[in-house]
Amino acid sequence: MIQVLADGVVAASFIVLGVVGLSMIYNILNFPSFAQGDHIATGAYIALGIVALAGTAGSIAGLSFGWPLIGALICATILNGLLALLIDRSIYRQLRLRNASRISLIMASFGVALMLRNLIVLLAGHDPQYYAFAIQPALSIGGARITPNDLLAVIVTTMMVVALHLFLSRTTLGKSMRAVSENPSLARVNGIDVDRVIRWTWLIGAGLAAIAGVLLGLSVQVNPSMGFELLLPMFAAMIVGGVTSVYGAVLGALLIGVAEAITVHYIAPEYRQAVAFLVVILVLLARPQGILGEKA
Amino acid sequence: MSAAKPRSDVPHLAVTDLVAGYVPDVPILRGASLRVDDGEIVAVLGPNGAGKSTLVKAVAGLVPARSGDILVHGASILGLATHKLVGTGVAYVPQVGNVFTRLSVEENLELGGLGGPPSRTRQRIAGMYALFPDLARFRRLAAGRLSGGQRQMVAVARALMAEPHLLMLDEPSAGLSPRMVELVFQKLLEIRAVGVSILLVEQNAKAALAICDRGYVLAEGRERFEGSGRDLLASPEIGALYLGATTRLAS
Repeated sequence: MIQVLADGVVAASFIVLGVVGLSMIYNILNFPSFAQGDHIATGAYIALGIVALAGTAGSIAGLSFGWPLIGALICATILNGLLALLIDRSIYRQLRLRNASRISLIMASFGVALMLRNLIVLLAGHDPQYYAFAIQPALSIGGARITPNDLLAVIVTTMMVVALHLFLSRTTLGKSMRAVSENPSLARVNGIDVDRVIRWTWLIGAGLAAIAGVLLGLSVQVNPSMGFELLLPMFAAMIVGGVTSVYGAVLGALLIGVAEAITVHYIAPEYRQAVAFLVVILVLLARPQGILGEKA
Repeated sequence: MSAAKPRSDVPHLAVTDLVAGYVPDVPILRGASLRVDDGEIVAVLGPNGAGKSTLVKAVAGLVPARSGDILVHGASILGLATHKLVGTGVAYVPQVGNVFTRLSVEENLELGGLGGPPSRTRQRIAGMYALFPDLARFRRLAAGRLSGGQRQMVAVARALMAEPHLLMLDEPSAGLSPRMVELVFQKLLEIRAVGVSILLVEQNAKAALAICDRGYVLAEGRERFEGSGRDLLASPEIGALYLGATTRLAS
Protein backbone atom coordinates (compact mmCIF):
# COMPACT_ATOMS: atom_id res chain seq x y z
CA MET A 1 0.00 0.00 0.00
CA ILE A 2 2.84 2.37 0.84
CA GLN A 3 4.40 1.51 -2.52
CA VAL A 4 1.12 2.40 -4.26
CA LEU A 5 0.96 5.74 -2.47
CA ALA A 6 4.58 6.46 -3.41
CA ASP A 7 3.87 5.63 -7.07
CA GLY A 8 0.78 7.84 -6.90
CA VAL A 9 2.70 10.79 -5.50
CA VAL A 10 5.34 10.43 -8.22
CA ALA A 11 2.66 10.30 -10.92
CA ALA A 12 0.96 13.30 -9.29
CA SER A 13 4.17 15.37 -9.39
CA PHE A 14 4.11 15.69 -13.17
CA ILE A 15 0.39 16.49 -13.15
CA VAL A 16 0.87 19.10 -10.40
CA LEU A 17 3.59 20.98 -12.28
CA GLY A 18 1.48 21.00 -15.45
CA VAL A 19 -1.87 21.80 -13.90
CA VAL A 20 -0.65 24.91 -12.07
CA GLY A 21 -0.11 26.58 -15.43
CA LEU A 22 -3.41 25.27 -16.77
CA SER A 23 -5.25 26.63 -13.73
CA MET A 24 -3.48 30.02 -13.72
CA ILE A 25 -4.11 30.54 -17.43
CA TYR A 26 -7.74 29.46 -17.02
CA ASN A 27 -8.32 31.91 -14.18
CA ILE A 28 -6.40 34.88 -15.55
CA LEU A 29 -6.99 34.59 -19.30
CA ASN A 30 -10.41 32.98 -18.84
CA PHE A 31 -9.97 29.99 -21.15
CA PRO A 32 -8.72 26.42 -20.74
CA SER A 33 -5.55 26.06 -22.79
CA PHE A 34 -5.50 22.73 -24.59
CA ALA A 35 -1.89 23.44 -25.47
CA GLN A 36 -0.71 23.15 -21.87
CA GLY A 37 0.26 19.48 -22.38
CA ASP A 38 2.35 20.36 -25.41
CA HIS A 39 4.11 23.14 -23.49
CA ILE A 40 5.31 20.30 -21.23
CA ALA A 41 6.70 18.50 -24.28
CA THR A 42 8.41 21.61 -25.71
CA GLY A 43 10.09 22.16 -22.34
CA ALA A 44 11.37 18.57 -22.33
CA TYR A 45 12.68 18.91 -25.90
CA ILE A 46 14.36 22.27 -25.30
CA ALA A 47 16.25 20.64 -22.42
CA LEU A 48 17.02 17.65 -24.66
CA GLY A 49 18.49 19.98 -27.26
CA ILE A 50 20.69 21.67 -24.69
CA VAL A 51 21.80 18.29 -23.31
CA ALA A 52 22.64 17.14 -26.85
CA LEU A 53 24.96 20.12 -27.15
CA ALA A 54 26.42 20.04 -23.66
CA GLY A 55 26.26 16.33 -22.82
CA THR A 56 25.11 14.80 -19.54
CA ALA A 57 28.55 13.87 -18.25
CA GLY A 58 28.78 12.66 -14.68
CA SER A 59 26.26 11.73 -12.08
CA ILE A 60 25.10 13.53 -8.96
CA ALA A 61 24.37 11.46 -5.86
CA GLY A 62 22.85 8.42 -7.57
CA LEU A 63 20.84 10.38 -10.13
CA SER A 64 21.09 9.28 -13.75
CA PHE A 65 22.56 12.58 -14.91
CA GLY A 66 25.15 15.24 -14.20
CA TRP A 67 25.20 18.99 -13.70
CA PRO A 68 24.67 19.87 -17.36
CA LEU A 69 21.09 18.59 -17.08
CA ILE A 70 20.43 20.91 -14.15
CA GLY A 71 21.66 23.78 -16.31
CA ALA A 72 19.50 22.53 -19.19
CA LEU A 73 16.48 22.36 -16.86
CA ILE A 74 16.93 25.98 -15.82
CA CYS A 75 17.49 27.18 -19.39
CA ALA A 76 14.48 25.17 -20.62
CA THR A 77 12.28 26.71 -17.91
CA ILE A 78 13.14 30.21 -19.07
CA LEU A 79 13.10 29.48 -22.82
CA ASN A 80 9.79 27.60 -22.58
CA GLY A 81 8.31 30.61 -20.78
CA LEU A 82 9.57 32.92 -23.51
CA LEU A 83 8.16 30.61 -26.19
CA ALA A 84 4.74 30.79 -24.50
CA LEU A 85 5.08 34.57 -24.33
CA LEU A 86 5.83 34.69 -28.06
CA ILE A 87 2.78 32.52 -28.79
CA ASP A 88 0.61 34.75 -26.60
CA ARG A 89 1.80 37.92 -28.35
CA SER A 90 1.35 36.53 -31.83
CA ILE A 91 -1.89 34.58 -31.34
CA TYR A 92 -3.88 34.92 -28.12
CA ARG A 93 -3.21 38.63 -27.69
CA GLN A 94 -4.44 39.32 -31.22
CA LEU A 95 -7.66 37.50 -30.35
CA ARG A 96 -8.03 39.39 -27.04
CA LEU A 97 -7.60 42.73 -28.83
CA ARG A 98 -10.48 41.71 -31.12
CA ASN A 99 -12.63 40.69 -28.12
CA ALA A 100 -12.67 37.10 -29.32
CA SER A 101 -15.04 34.73 -27.55
CA ARG A 102 -13.84 32.07 -25.16
CA ILE A 103 -14.53 29.35 -27.72
CA SER A 104 -12.24 31.12 -30.23
CA LEU A 105 -9.43 31.13 -27.67
CA ILE A 106 -10.01 27.44 -26.93
CA MET A 107 -9.89 26.57 -30.63
CA ALA A 108 -6.75 28.68 -31.01
CA SER A 109 -5.15 26.70 -28.18
CA PHE A 110 -6.01 23.47 -30.04
CA GLY A 111 -4.17 24.94 -33.02
CA VAL A 112 -1.18 25.88 -30.88
CA ALA A 113 -1.17 22.36 -29.43
CA LEU A 114 -1.04 20.76 -32.89
CA MET A 115 1.55 23.24 -34.06
CA LEU A 116 3.88 22.60 -31.12
CA ARG A 117 3.54 18.80 -31.31
CA ASN A 118 4.24 18.73 -35.03
CA LEU A 119 7.09 21.19 -34.71
CA ILE A 120 8.67 18.74 -32.27
CA VAL A 121 8.18 15.84 -34.69
CA LEU A 122 9.65 17.93 -37.49
CA LEU A 123 12.75 18.88 -35.53
CA ALA A 124 13.35 15.79 -33.38
CA GLY A 125 11.35 12.94 -34.94
CA HIS A 126 8.77 10.55 -33.52
CA ASP A 127 11.10 8.21 -31.67
CA PRO A 128 11.33 8.25 -27.89
CA GLN A 129 14.53 9.77 -26.57
CA TYR A 130 16.33 9.79 -23.23
CA TYR A 131 18.41 12.30 -21.32
CA ALA A 132 20.73 9.57 -20.04
CA PHE A 133 20.90 5.81 -19.95
CA ALA A 134 22.57 5.24 -16.60
CA ILE A 135 20.99 2.41 -14.59
CA GLN A 136 19.58 3.59 -11.28
CA PRO A 137 19.30 1.34 -8.27
CA ALA A 138 16.04 2.19 -6.47
CA LEU A 139 16.20 3.57 -2.95
CA SER A 140 14.11 2.10 -0.18
CA ILE A 141 12.32 4.75 1.83
CA GLY A 142 9.89 3.75 4.58
CA GLY A 143 8.98 0.51 2.83
CA ALA A 144 8.55 2.02 -0.63
CA ARG A 145 11.04 1.59 -3.45
CA ILE A 146 11.64 4.74 -5.46
CA THR A 147 14.34 5.69 -7.98
CA PRO A 148 16.49 8.73 -7.22
CA ASN A 149 15.09 10.48 -10.33
CA ASP A 150 11.50 9.98 -9.14
CA LEU A 151 12.41 11.13 -5.65
CA LEU A 152 13.91 14.24 -7.22
CA ALA A 153 10.66 14.84 -9.11
CA VAL A 154 8.67 14.71 -5.87
CA ILE A 155 11.13 17.00 -4.06
CA VAL A 156 11.30 19.56 -6.88
CA THR A 157 7.50 19.57 -7.20
CA THR A 158 7.06 20.10 -3.47
CA MET A 159 9.55 22.97 -3.56
CA MET A 160 7.74 24.54 -6.51
CA VAL A 161 4.34 24.30 -4.78
CA VAL A 162 5.75 25.94 -1.65
CA ALA A 163 7.45 28.62 -3.78
CA LEU A 164 4.18 29.20 -5.65
CA HIS A 165 2.29 29.58 -2.39
CA LEU A 166 4.80 32.12 -1.07
CA PHE A 167 4.70 33.93 -4.40
CA LEU A 168 0.89 34.16 -4.47
CA SER A 169 0.47 35.09 -0.80
CA ARG A 170 3.48 37.35 -0.16
CA THR A 171 4.50 39.21 -3.31
CA THR A 172 2.74 42.14 -4.92
CA LEU A 173 2.79 40.41 -8.30
CA GLY A 174 1.29 37.26 -6.79
CA LYS A 175 -1.48 39.22 -5.10
CA SER A 176 -2.05 41.12 -8.34
CA MET A 177 -2.46 37.77 -10.12
CA ARG A 178 -5.08 36.65 -7.60
CA ALA A 179 -6.80 40.01 -8.03
CA VAL A 180 -6.87 39.74 -11.84
CA SER A 181 -8.10 36.15 -11.68
CA GLU A 182 -11.06 37.23 -9.58
CA ASN A 183 -12.00 40.59 -11.09
CA PRO A 184 -9.89 41.95 -13.98
CA SER A 185 -11.94 45.12 -14.29
CA LEU A 186 -11.48 46.04 -10.61
CA ALA A 187 -7.80 45.14 -10.92
CA ARG A 188 -7.44 47.71 -13.70
CA VAL A 189 -9.29 50.29 -11.62
CA ASN A 190 -6.77 49.56 -8.86
CA GLY A 191 -3.91 50.44 -11.16
CA ILE A 192 -2.85 46.87 -11.89
CA ASP A 193 -1.38 46.48 -15.39
CA VAL A 194 -3.34 43.40 -16.51
CA ASP A 195 -1.16 42.85 -19.59
CA ARG A 196 1.89 42.56 -17.36
CA VAL A 197 0.09 40.03 -15.16
CA ILE A 198 -0.81 38.02 -18.27
CA ARG A 199 2.83 37.96 -19.39
CA TRP A 200 3.95 36.63 -16.02
CA THR A 201 1.18 34.03 -16.08
CA TRP A 202 2.58 32.56 -19.30
CA LEU A 203 6.16 32.72 -18.04
CA ILE A 204 5.28 30.88 -14.84
CA GLY A 205 2.79 28.45 -16.38
CA ALA A 206 5.07 27.40 -19.22
CA GLY A 207 8.15 27.50 -16.97
CA LEU A 208 6.59 25.00 -14.58
CA ALA A 209 5.45 22.95 -17.59
CA ALA A 210 9.08 22.73 -18.72
CA ILE A 211 10.11 21.44 -15.30
CA ALA A 212 7.31 18.86 -15.52
CA GLY A 213 8.56 17.85 -18.97
CA VAL A 214 12.19 17.38 -17.92
CA LEU A 215 11.26 15.43 -14.76
CA LEU A 216 8.82 13.26 -16.72
CA GLY A 217 11.47 12.73 -19.38
CA LEU A 218 13.93 11.60 -16.71
CA SER A 219 11.38 9.29 -15.13
CA VAL A 220 9.99 7.72 -18.31
CA GLN A 221 11.12 9.03 -21.69
CA VAL A 222 10.92 12.05 -23.95
CA ASN A 223 8.48 11.73 -26.84
CA PRO A 224 6.34 14.19 -28.83
CA SER A 225 3.03 13.21 -27.22
CA MET A 226 4.32 12.97 -23.61
CA GLY A 227 2.57 16.21 -22.66
CA PHE A 228 -0.60 15.64 -24.63
CA GLU A 229 -1.06 12.38 -22.72
CA LEU A 230 -1.01 14.38 -19.47
CA LEU A 231 -3.71 16.77 -20.68
CA LEU A 232 -6.71 14.68 -19.58
CA PRO A 233 -5.33 13.99 -16.08
CA MET A 234 -4.53 17.70 -15.77
CA PHE A 235 -8.05 18.73 -16.70
CA ALA A 236 -9.44 16.09 -14.33
CA ALA A 237 -7.22 17.47 -11.55
CA MET A 238 -8.23 21.06 -12.20
CA ILE A 239 -11.94 20.26 -12.29
CA VAL A 240 -11.97 17.97 -9.26
CA GLY A 241 -9.93 20.49 -7.28
CA GLY A 242 -12.25 23.38 -8.12
CA VAL A 243 -11.37 25.44 -11.19
CA THR A 244 -11.07 28.75 -9.37
CA SER A 245 -8.33 27.52 -7.04
CA VAL A 246 -4.70 26.77 -7.90
CA TYR A 247 -4.41 24.97 -4.55
CA GLY A 248 -7.45 22.89 -5.44
CA ALA A 249 -5.73 21.90 -8.69
CA VAL A 250 -2.69 20.71 -6.72
CA LEU A 251 -4.90 18.62 -4.41
CA GLY A 252 -6.81 17.33 -7.42
CA ALA A 253 -3.55 16.23 -9.05
CA LEU A 254 -2.61 14.27 -5.94
CA LEU A 255 -6.00 12.58 -5.92
CA ILE A 256 -5.78 11.67 -9.62
CA GLY A 257 -2.17 10.45 -9.28
CA VAL A 258 -2.99 8.18 -6.36
CA ALA A 259 -6.20 6.92 -8.00
CA GLU A 260 -4.20 6.01 -11.10
CA ALA A 261 -1.53 4.23 -9.07
CA ILE A 262 -4.16 2.22 -7.18
CA THR A 263 -5.75 1.18 -10.47
CA VAL A 264 -2.43 0.17 -12.01
CA HIS A 265 -1.56 -1.84 -8.92
CA TYR A 266 -4.84 -3.58 -8.09
CA ILE A 267 -6.86 -3.60 -11.32
CA ALA A 268 -5.06 -3.07 -14.63
CA PRO A 269 -3.05 -0.23 -16.18
CA GLU A 270 -5.58 0.13 -19.04
CA TYR A 271 -8.27 1.24 -16.59
CA ARG A 272 -6.07 3.99 -15.17
CA GLN A 273 -7.82 6.98 -16.75
CA ALA A 274 -11.29 5.43 -16.43
CA VAL A 275 -10.87 5.09 -12.67
CA ALA A 276 -9.41 8.58 -12.42
CA PHE A 277 -12.50 9.97 -14.07
CA LEU A 278 -14.75 7.83 -11.89
CA VAL A 279 -13.10 9.54 -8.92
CA VAL A 280 -13.77 12.91 -10.55
CA ILE A 281 -17.44 12.03 -11.00
CA LEU A 282 -17.80 10.80 -7.41
CA VAL A 283 -16.20 13.93 -5.96
CA LEU A 284 -18.30 16.22 -8.15
CA LEU A 285 -21.50 14.40 -7.16
CA ALA A 286 -20.73 15.20 -3.53
CA ARG A 287 -19.21 18.63 -4.19
CA PRO A 288 -20.17 20.05 -7.59
CA GLN A 289 -17.83 23.02 -7.22
CA GLY A 290 -14.79 20.78 -6.65
CA ILE A 291 -12.68 20.29 -3.53
CA LEU A 292 -11.69 23.93 -3.01
CA GLY A 293 -13.94 25.58 -5.58
CA GLU A 294 -16.49 28.25 -4.84
CA LYS A 295 -20.17 27.86 -5.54
CA ALA A 296 -21.08 29.68 -8.71
CA MET B 1 2.45 57.69 -6.37
CA SER B 2 -0.34 60.25 -6.65
CA ALA B 3 -0.10 63.29 -8.84
CA ALA B 4 1.22 66.54 -7.42
CA LYS B 5 -1.37 68.65 -5.63
CA PRO B 6 -3.13 70.48 -8.44
CA ARG B 7 -4.03 74.15 -8.53
CA SER B 8 -7.28 74.67 -6.73
CA ASP B 9 -8.72 77.00 -9.39
CA VAL B 10 -8.70 74.28 -12.07
CA PRO B 11 -11.55 71.74 -11.71
CA HIS B 12 -10.45 68.30 -10.54
CA LEU B 13 -12.71 66.83 -13.16
CA ALA B 14 -14.40 68.48 -16.12
CA VAL B 15 -16.56 66.46 -18.47
CA THR B 16 -17.73 68.33 -21.58
CA ASP B 17 -20.35 67.21 -24.13
CA LEU B 18 -19.46 63.58 -23.54
CA VAL B 19 -20.96 61.01 -25.89
CA ALA B 20 -20.24 57.47 -24.76
CA GLY B 21 -21.70 53.96 -24.81
CA TYR B 22 -20.80 50.31 -24.93
CA VAL B 23 -21.84 49.84 -28.56
CA PRO B 24 -20.98 52.28 -31.38
CA ASP B 25 -24.05 54.21 -32.64
CA VAL B 26 -25.98 53.47 -29.43
CA PRO B 27 -24.76 56.20 -27.10
CA ILE B 28 -25.95 56.10 -23.51
CA LEU B 29 -24.43 59.48 -22.74
CA ARG B 30 -25.54 62.06 -25.32
CA GLY B 31 -23.53 65.15 -24.62
CA ALA B 32 -23.23 65.17 -20.83
CA SER B 33 -21.21 67.84 -19.04
CA LEU B 34 -20.25 68.32 -15.42
CA ARG B 35 -17.39 69.48 -13.27
CA VAL B 36 -16.05 68.82 -9.78
CA ASP B 37 -14.11 71.63 -8.12
CA ASP B 38 -11.56 71.41 -5.35
CA GLY B 39 -13.06 70.19 -2.08
CA GLU B 40 -16.56 69.64 -3.46
CA ILE B 41 -18.98 66.79 -3.04
CA VAL B 42 -20.95 66.57 -6.29
CA ALA B 43 -23.92 64.25 -6.65
CA VAL B 44 -25.17 62.82 -9.95
CA LEU B 45 -28.81 61.79 -9.74
CA GLY B 46 -31.43 60.63 -12.15
CA PRO B 47 -33.74 57.79 -13.09
CA ASN B 48 -32.57 54.31 -14.06
CA GLY B 49 -30.95 54.25 -17.47
CA ALA B 50 -30.11 57.95 -17.40
CA GLY B 51 -26.43 57.15 -17.86
CA LYS B 52 -25.19 57.90 -14.34
CA SER B 53 -23.00 54.79 -14.05
CA THR B 54 -21.88 55.10 -17.67
CA LEU B 55 -20.60 58.57 -16.87
CA VAL B 56 -18.19 57.43 -14.15
CA LYS B 57 -17.26 54.32 -16.14
CA ALA B 58 -16.36 56.52 -19.10
CA VAL B 59 -14.15 58.64 -16.84
CA ALA B 60 -12.54 55.40 -15.60
CA GLY B 61 -11.91 54.32 -19.19
CA LEU B 62 -14.19 51.30 -18.91
CA VAL B 63 -16.67 52.62 -21.49
CA PRO B 64 -15.27 54.17 -24.68
CA ALA B 65 -15.99 57.85 -25.29
CA ARG B 66 -17.15 58.66 -28.85
CA SER B 67 -16.85 62.44 -28.63
CA GLY B 68 -16.53 65.22 -26.09
CA ASP B 69 -13.73 65.46 -23.57
CA ILE B 70 -12.76 64.41 -20.05
CA LEU B 71 -10.25 66.66 -18.29
CA VAL B 72 -8.53 65.77 -15.03
CA HIS B 73 -6.80 68.81 -13.55
CA GLY B 74 -7.08 70.46 -16.93
CA ALA B 75 -5.47 67.63 -18.95
CA SER B 76 -7.46 65.35 -21.23
CA ILE B 77 -7.52 61.70 -20.18
CA LEU B 78 -9.44 60.43 -23.23
CA GLY B 79 -8.02 57.08 -24.30
CA LEU B 80 -6.03 56.64 -21.10
CA ALA B 81 -5.70 52.98 -20.07
CA THR B 82 -7.85 52.25 -17.01
CA HIS B 83 -4.89 51.14 -14.90
CA LYS B 84 -3.26 54.54 -15.38
CA LEU B 85 -6.23 56.54 -14.07
CA VAL B 86 -5.18 56.09 -10.46
CA GLY B 87 -1.88 57.83 -11.30
CA THR B 88 -3.79 60.99 -12.26
CA GLY B 89 -5.21 61.24 -8.75
CA VAL B 90 -8.67 59.87 -9.52
CA ALA B 91 -9.91 56.77 -7.67
CA TYR B 92 -13.08 54.91 -8.60
CA VAL B 93 -15.33 52.64 -6.54
CA PRO B 94 -17.60 50.59 -8.82
CA GLN B 95 -21.15 49.78 -7.74
CA VAL B 96 -20.80 46.01 -7.78
CA GLY B 97 -17.75 43.77 -7.56
CA ASN B 98 -15.82 46.54 -5.83
CA VAL B 99 -13.76 44.35 -3.50
CA PHE B 100 -11.63 41.28 -4.20
CA THR B 101 -13.76 38.75 -2.31
CA ARG B 102 -11.11 36.02 -2.16
CA LEU B 103 -8.42 38.36 -0.88
CA SER B 104 -8.19 39.43 2.74
CA VAL B 105 -9.22 42.92 3.79
CA GLU B 106 -5.58 43.84 4.23
CA GLU B 107 -4.61 42.46 0.81
CA ASN B 108 -7.40 44.53 -0.75
CA LEU B 109 -5.92 47.63 0.85
CA GLU B 110 -2.37 46.71 -0.19
CA LEU B 111 -3.45 46.42 -3.82
CA GLY B 112 -5.10 49.83 -3.55
CA GLY B 113 -1.73 51.30 -2.64
CA LEU B 114 0.26 49.66 -5.42
CA GLY B 115 3.29 51.50 -6.65
CA GLY B 116 4.03 53.38 -3.46
CA PRO B 117 6.93 52.46 -1.19
CA PRO B 118 6.03 49.65 1.28
CA SER B 119 6.55 51.91 4.31
CA ARG B 120 4.04 54.40 2.85
CA THR B 121 1.58 51.58 2.14
CA ARG B 122 1.75 50.35 5.74
CA GLN B 123 1.26 53.91 6.97
CA ARG B 124 -1.79 54.34 4.70
CA ILE B 125 -3.26 51.03 5.86
CA ALA B 126 -2.95 52.19 9.47
CA GLY B 127 -4.71 55.41 8.43
CA MET B 128 -7.56 53.42 6.87
CA TYR B 129 -7.98 51.34 10.03
CA ALA B 130 -8.23 54.61 11.95
CA LEU B 131 -10.92 55.88 9.56
CA PHE B 132 -12.77 52.53 9.50
CA PRO B 133 -12.10 50.88 12.89
CA ASP B 134 -14.30 47.89 11.97
CA LEU B 135 -11.92 46.86 9.23
CA ALA B 136 -8.96 46.42 11.57
CA ARG B 137 -10.79 43.59 13.31
CA PHE B 138 -11.35 41.77 10.00
CA ARG B 139 -7.97 42.45 8.42
CA ARG B 140 -7.14 38.76 7.90
CA LEU B 141 -10.64 37.77 6.80
CA ALA B 142 -11.52 37.25 3.12
CA ALA B 143 -13.42 40.37 2.04
CA GLY B 144 -16.19 38.19 0.59
CA ARG B 145 -17.20 37.13 4.09
CA LEU B 146 -18.00 40.68 5.24
CA SER B 147 -21.45 42.27 5.32
CA GLY B 148 -22.52 44.61 2.53
CA GLY B 149 -21.75 47.71 4.57
CA GLN B 150 -18.34 46.46 5.63
CA ARG B 151 -17.51 45.59 2.04
CA GLN B 152 -18.43 49.10 0.98
CA MET B 153 -16.00 50.38 3.64
CA VAL B 154 -13.27 48.11 2.23
CA ALA B 155 -14.02 49.38 -1.28
CA VAL B 156 -13.79 53.02 -0.23
CA ALA B 157 -10.67 52.41 1.88
CA ARG B 158 -9.07 50.53 -1.02
CA ALA B 159 -9.71 53.49 -3.33
CA LEU B 160 -8.33 55.97 -0.77
CA MET B 161 -5.10 53.95 -0.46
CA ALA B 162 -3.89 55.58 -3.69
CA GLU B 163 -4.15 59.04 -2.08
CA PRO B 164 -6.52 60.40 -4.73
CA HIS B 165 -7.61 64.02 -5.11
CA LEU B 166 -10.96 62.88 -6.44
CA LEU B 167 -12.99 59.89 -5.33
CA MET B 168 -15.73 58.65 -7.69
CA LEU B 169 -18.37 56.42 -6.10
CA ASP B 170 -21.05 54.54 -8.01
CA GLU B 171 -24.10 54.07 -5.76
CA PRO B 172 -22.36 53.41 -2.46
CA SER B 173 -25.77 53.14 -0.75
CA ALA B 174 -27.06 50.28 -2.96
CA GLY B 175 -28.25 47.35 -0.91
CA LEU B 176 -27.38 48.92 2.44
CA SER B 177 -29.69 49.43 5.42
CA PRO B 178 -30.68 53.07 6.14
CA ARG B 179 -28.45 53.07 9.22
CA MET B 180 -25.51 51.81 7.12
CA VAL B 181 -26.20 54.42 4.42
CA GLU B 182 -26.01 57.11 7.06
CA LEU B 183 -22.70 55.70 8.31
CA VAL B 184 -21.16 55.50 4.83
CA PHE B 185 -22.25 59.04 3.98
CA GLN B 186 -20.89 60.29 7.31
CA LYS B 187 -17.54 58.78 6.27
CA LEU B 188 -17.72 60.60 2.94
CA LEU B 189 -17.95 63.91 4.82
CA GLU B 190 -14.90 62.90 6.87
CA ILE B 191 -13.04 62.03 3.68
CA ARG B 192 -13.90 65.37 2.11
CA ALA B 193 -12.69 67.08 5.27
CA VAL B 194 -9.16 65.76 4.63
CA GLY B 195 -9.14 67.32 1.17
CA VAL B 196 -10.53 64.68 -1.18
CA SER B 197 -13.22 65.85 -3.62
CA ILE B 198 -16.06 63.42 -4.25
CA LEU B 199 -18.21 62.60 -7.27
CA LEU B 200 -21.17 60.61 -6.05
CA VAL B 201 -23.53 58.76 -8.37
CA GLU B 202 -26.68 57.92 -6.41
CA GLN B 203 -30.13 56.41 -6.70
CA ASN B 204 -30.81 57.49 -3.12
CA ALA B 205 -31.40 61.16 -3.92
CA LYS B 206 -32.43 62.18 -0.42
CA ALA B 207 -29.25 60.92 1.21
CA ALA B 208 -26.99 62.23 -1.56
CA LEU B 209 -28.55 65.71 -1.70
CA ALA B 210 -28.24 66.00 2.07
CA ILE B 211 -24.44 65.84 1.95
CA CYS B 212 -23.54 67.25 -1.48
CA ASP B 213 -22.50 70.80 -2.33
CA ARG B 214 -23.87 70.61 -5.84
CA GLY B 215 -25.88 68.10 -7.77
CA TYR B 216 -26.68 67.26 -11.35
CA VAL B 217 -29.86 65.53 -12.49
CA LEU B 218 -29.15 63.32 -15.48
CA ALA B 219 -31.86 62.11 -17.85
CA GLU B 220 -31.57 60.44 -21.22
CA GLY B 221 -27.83 60.83 -21.29
CA ARG B 222 -27.61 64.56 -20.55
CA GLU B 223 -27.59 66.75 -17.46
CA ARG B 224 -31.00 68.44 -17.16
CA PHE B 225 -30.64 70.36 -13.93
CA GLU B 226 -27.73 71.64 -11.91
CA GLY B 227 -27.98 73.24 -8.51
CA SER B 228 -27.07 73.16 -4.86
CA GLY B 229 -28.22 70.14 -2.90
CA ARG B 230 -30.80 72.22 -1.09
CA ASP B 231 -32.27 73.72 -4.28
CA LEU B 232 -32.57 70.38 -6.01
CA LEU B 233 -34.13 68.81 -2.94
CA ALA B 234 -36.67 71.65 -2.68
CA SER B 235 -37.70 71.63 -6.34
CA PRO B 236 -41.01 69.79 -6.71
CA GLU B 237 -40.59 69.66 -10.48
CA ILE B 238 -37.30 67.79 -10.25
CA GLY B 239 -38.61 65.50 -7.56
CA ALA B 240 -41.64 64.49 -9.55
CA LEU B 241 -40.00 64.22 -12.93
CA TYR B 242 -36.63 62.73 -12.27
CA LEU B 243 -35.99 61.54 -8.79
CA GLY B 244 -38.89 59.16 -8.47
CA ALA B 245 -40.00 57.46 -5.30
CA THR B 246 -36.96 58.34 -3.22
CA THR B 247 -37.81 62.04 -3.12
CA ARG B 248 -41.51 61.41 -2.62
CA LEU B 249 -40.42 59.71 0.56
CA ALA B 250 -38.37 62.77 1.35
CA SER B 251 -41.14 65.31 0.91
